[in-house]
Amino acid sequence: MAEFSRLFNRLFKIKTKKLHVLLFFQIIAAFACAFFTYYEVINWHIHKNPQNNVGIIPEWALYFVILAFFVIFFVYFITPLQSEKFNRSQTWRLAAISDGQFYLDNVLSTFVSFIYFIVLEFVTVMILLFLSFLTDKSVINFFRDLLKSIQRNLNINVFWIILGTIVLAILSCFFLYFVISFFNFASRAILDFVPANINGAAVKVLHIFIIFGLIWFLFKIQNIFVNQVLLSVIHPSNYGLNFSSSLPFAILATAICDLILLGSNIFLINHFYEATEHK
Amino acid sequence: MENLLEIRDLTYKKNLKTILDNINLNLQPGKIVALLGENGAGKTTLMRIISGMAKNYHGTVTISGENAIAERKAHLSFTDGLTGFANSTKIKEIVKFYKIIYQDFDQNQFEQLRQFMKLDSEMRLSEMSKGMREKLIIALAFSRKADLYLLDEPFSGIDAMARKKIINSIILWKPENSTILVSDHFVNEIASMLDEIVIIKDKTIYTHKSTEEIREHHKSVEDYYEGLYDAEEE
Repeated sequence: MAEFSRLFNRLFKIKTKKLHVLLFFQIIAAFACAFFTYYEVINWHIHKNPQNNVGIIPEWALYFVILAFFVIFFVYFITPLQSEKFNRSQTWRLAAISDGQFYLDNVLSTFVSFIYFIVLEFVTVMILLFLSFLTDKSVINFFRDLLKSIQRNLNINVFWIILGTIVLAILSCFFLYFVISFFNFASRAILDFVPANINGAAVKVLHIFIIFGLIWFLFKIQNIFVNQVLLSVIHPSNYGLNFSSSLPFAILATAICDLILLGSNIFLINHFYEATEHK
Repeated sequence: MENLLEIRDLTYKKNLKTILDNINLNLQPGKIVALLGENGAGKTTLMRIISGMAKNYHGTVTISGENAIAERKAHLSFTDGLTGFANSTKIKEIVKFYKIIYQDFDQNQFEQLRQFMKLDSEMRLSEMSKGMREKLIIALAFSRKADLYLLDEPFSGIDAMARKKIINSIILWKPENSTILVSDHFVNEIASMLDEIVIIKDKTIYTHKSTEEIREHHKSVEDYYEGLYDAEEE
């Protein structure tokens, strides 16, 4: 367990290092967008844009939130791809821990670093909003109205839907990580059984074909498993539930798929997926 | 004496090609053993199997009686090429990584070895020549207190003078009961420190002899090794 947590800390630190840089650039980019919306350049002179009636700091917060959507999606898709490098690296795999535990460490540190990045984004938005409150009264009125509207519509059902959506988002996040690892591990494992006389370029083409084959295979399995097995057992309509109540079913189905993929990946990394010295 | 490393009936295939076939090998504690063989004989593969990096082999590998990969890795120190680090990584950052990841890493020992190898902690991997990188790899490997050291062609990029100095000092760096398994092409240069040699030929262990036994027959290790291939050519 001590090895697990030491490795986790190290992986987490490395994975978040670049995220800090990304956040910094996002803050700068949002400020640049806000600046050029608030001001305009005419004949090499900077003038306040007369059409803009919002302050520069609320503008900054707004652009930051808009950019956050793109940046968070970028990080969501890039981090699991980066974590595959650690799974392949001999330097990391030599740590005195089983390969299955190493894989878990790697996946968890990727997930926690992603959540950490979302928290950083949230904190930055809060700071920018706080600064907006101090400088612009219209922002205070806007948020007062928004809070009132939320309070009016808030009930226990909404709470459960929000909670269920968060759980589903977390499970979907793991699903992406597990699917990427599965394609990587399974395709490499299959390549290890390809005859040695096939040359480098052909191997790369074959690798792509194997990945497409695995996508097709996973899609078929998922169709059979979710539509025919799971739905026949726990279909929401069997319990008289409407569409909005199908969230628990989606959570259960995703959780089961996650567990199956996790089990497959641990098996593959323990028995087939080799570490290499190549970058 | 109980064996430190035991390999039983090991066969490894990759891409439908047999790389190692029916390997049986026992190494005792406290020995320095050369793993010899031609290029592509399977020396690196054997080390990768011992360290748990290569998978899907048949047979058993135990180090200090431990078969599980996590336990095996805890008992060994393998000369890794450090390819898991970005080229901009400084030596001091790699040391930090080793300190965190390996419980048996001795920073004082590393400092001594670093000074011996004339390496600067502030140096980045991208600034290092092949030889300097190999010196760092050796220093990192011997800064761990392991039972088994796996040195995979550790001296190939190091200049002749430094190589000689390192080879002469290795015996001082290793703990008394630890075993070193070293693969190298410079048989004559490492011969003086060896207790045993293991030769891989035709995908299996062709011979496993003590250097004493070889010298008893009035032969140097190098002559003995080269003799195997000369006889084949004739």
